[in-house]
Amino acid sequence: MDVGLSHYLTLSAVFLALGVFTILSRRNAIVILMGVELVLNAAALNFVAFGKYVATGIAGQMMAIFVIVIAAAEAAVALAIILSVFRNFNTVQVDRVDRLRN
Amino acid sequence: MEFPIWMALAGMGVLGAGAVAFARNVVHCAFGLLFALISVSAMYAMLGADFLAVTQVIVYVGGILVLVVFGVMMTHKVEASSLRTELVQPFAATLAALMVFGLSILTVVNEAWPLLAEPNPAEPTTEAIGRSFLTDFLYPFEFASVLLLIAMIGAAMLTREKPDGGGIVIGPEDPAPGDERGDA
Repeated sequence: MDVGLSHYLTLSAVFLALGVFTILSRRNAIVILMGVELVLNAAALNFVAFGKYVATGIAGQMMAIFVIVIAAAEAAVALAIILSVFRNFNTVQVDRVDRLRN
Repeated sequence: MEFPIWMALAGMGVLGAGAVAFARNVVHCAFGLLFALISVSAMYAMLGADFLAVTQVIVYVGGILVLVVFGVMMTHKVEASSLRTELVQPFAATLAALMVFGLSILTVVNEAWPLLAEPNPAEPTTEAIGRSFLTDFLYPFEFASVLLLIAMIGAAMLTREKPDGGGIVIGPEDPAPGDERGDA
């Protein structure tokens, strides 16, 4: 049995579903961020798989590289926000961060 | 021979992603994410994207994951109990995830993808990627570099210890009781 496009798409769908589940069901902001990373990886994997089996040229891989760039920027800023929230609220549970002012 | 290897790598990734979704301990989640990211990197390698596979390891495993573990260590007290994290609204989340998964699988099964007669051969891609960066993808490339600069400055601004010089304050100005922040 050969590995084909549908195998990669199925794996990517699993990553996507687990990422969505993580984002929706967790209270810890850092774990939610991990779920976002899973979703981004699923999307990038799809781009590269289509780039091999459907499209010619390098565009699919370029898209995946830009996804990695966006993910890096997003992780840096999101963790900075989480650290800042932790300094001020002393928690990273997103449902306990519910005050706009004292 | 290709399929068993693929299955093993994919299984590692799915187990890792499952740990991210279901593990109670945040550090276990981080290790699960590590395996999921390495699995995606292996998938890139099997798809013939050699440069991308290495980039995935360097940026994700070497950079983002270390950053995440730093975040875990800095925002949790050392006792094991506070490292735990529980699930909220598990039924709604399961329902949403299953709907997303079902829709994706339906699309995969039903769509007639215009497959190439012969998949693109696995050949070194670094030169082609470098060329693309400076020709077809020059604007996205420059935009990405500006974006990374902005993200770097923004992260430094957001985590400044004393935000009286124009820094952004998130949350109440006065530290909560028991806050570890040491500025008087």
